[in-house]
Amino acid sequence: MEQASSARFGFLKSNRFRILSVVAVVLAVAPSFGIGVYGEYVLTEALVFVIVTAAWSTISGYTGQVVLGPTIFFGLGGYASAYLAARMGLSPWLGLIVGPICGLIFGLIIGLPFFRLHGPYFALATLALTEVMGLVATNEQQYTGGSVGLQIPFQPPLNILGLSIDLNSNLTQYYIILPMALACTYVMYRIAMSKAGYYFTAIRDDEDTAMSLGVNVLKYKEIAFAVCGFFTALAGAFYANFLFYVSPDAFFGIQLALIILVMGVLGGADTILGAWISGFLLTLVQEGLRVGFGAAAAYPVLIVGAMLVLLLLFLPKGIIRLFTKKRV
Amino acid sequence: MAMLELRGVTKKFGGLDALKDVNLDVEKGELLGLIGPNGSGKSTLFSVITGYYHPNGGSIVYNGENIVGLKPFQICRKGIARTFQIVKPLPSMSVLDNVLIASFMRAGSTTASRKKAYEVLEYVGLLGKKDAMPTGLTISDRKRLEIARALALNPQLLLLDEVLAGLNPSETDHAIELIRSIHRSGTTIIMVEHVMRVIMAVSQKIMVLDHGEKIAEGEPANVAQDARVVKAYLGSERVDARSN
Repeated sequence: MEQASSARFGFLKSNRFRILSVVAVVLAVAPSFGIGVYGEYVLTEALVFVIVTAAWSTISGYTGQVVLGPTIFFGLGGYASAYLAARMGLSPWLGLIVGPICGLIFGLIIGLPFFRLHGPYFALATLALTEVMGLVATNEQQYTGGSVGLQIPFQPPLNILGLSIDLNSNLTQYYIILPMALACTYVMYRIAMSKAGYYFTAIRDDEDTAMSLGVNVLKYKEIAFAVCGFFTALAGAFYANFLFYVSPDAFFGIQLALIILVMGVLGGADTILGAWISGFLLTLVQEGLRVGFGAAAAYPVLIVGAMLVLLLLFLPKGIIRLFTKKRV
Repeated sequence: MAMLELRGVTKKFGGLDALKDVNLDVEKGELLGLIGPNGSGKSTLFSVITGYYHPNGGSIVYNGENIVGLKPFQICRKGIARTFQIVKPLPSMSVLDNVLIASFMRAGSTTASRKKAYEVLEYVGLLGKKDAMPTGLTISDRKRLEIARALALNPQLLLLDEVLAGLNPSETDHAIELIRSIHRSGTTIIMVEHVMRVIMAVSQKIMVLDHGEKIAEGEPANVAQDARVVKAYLGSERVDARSN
């Protein structure tokens, strides 16, 4: 019973919380140590992918419903931001509210037909949908700007309490995404540790058994998909502001989907905290390769692909399983 | 009115009648033994009652309500819990977490669910192995885990599908004691079993299925004398005894 009473505060006393606190503090002070604009850029990108990877893990790792096209939601969020700015003249930062709501609702809607499919058929349906959405984005020029995409105009500085905040600067964006990534992973972690999280894993392990234990399988798949949609779209909405544009390739592209999948498996598909390892590791590796080989070279893709193969062979449960066997 | 009333329940798989016009009344507080040769439809009957199979005809009334067409999780919430003949632990979750999944249904909070899970594990004698993974358990412990999960659902009606199969004699005795104790605490039980010695000793009433049809129902002593039962089932007891 001792576990029962301490369960609620277990996370705040645990080692993972201490490690994550240290990581958060290091990241918070990093810009003061001369990492430069490029450093801020790389870290921001990594934090975006931490959120995306954790969201992917919720549906694919915990619930076992593998989403091959997480870009469905990433693109949706990104285009929401850009559309608000380029077509409606509003602040693209409103996308951080509109995008995730769209992602959540869209997840619930497409979940209804998609969850009639099982295993690889569900996975392929998500891949097909992201291709369709990419095609729509390419062809519906008046809304999406076609294959060129939409530009997000520079935003005037924000005045809060006499402080002028430049939302266009890398540093400001970095300090927006850092607390966002911490908050998002914390919320997803709490979901994974809750009744819903346990139900997710029961569904992954055996749907028949889950049903015999009172689990409404469809309802909890929908919840997991909505969580994935919400947070992935949030990350996408931020990413659009970060790049100042959206395009079918950058937001619905197959290569982006592949990177997200590799990240999901790299840290450990059924862990939320593993997203921190893989988000940073893979972003840094990719940037390193890009610097080493030049932006146009094919080697980075090749090496990332090889990493995935080796990983699946030797560490199928992800890097985090080197450190802990617990539910994290 | 009986707690569970089956009227004309029929289930076909292709051209095969797995269940043919089965009628059954189970009174509250009863312990009913369900026997029959292999393939006679015992497990199918459980799957039809719990919503895994949709019957082709007939009605299943539980506490005055027709439950045909409800999904398994809905029937589970109404108070009918089952175990599976082939044990189905959730392989990536510890023994405790397996039971926790079940106790979530009735308990309001995570804390209450955990408390309930600990209680049930202690009751069935698995508390010492709460952190073990189910794949590492002996067959006897896996059967206990099945029972523990079902109990964590606080069922009014418990369907036990061959929970004694594969156990050695002393494990069987322990398991029987457990089943009797669950029954004494007020849970209505239907149990499918192959071990005749057990079913005769434990059940208040026995129903015999053969080729999907009910061929006998009544007190254990009377059923054992029934000519059709002897022909269909008891004649092969020696074979069963060896396979157990």
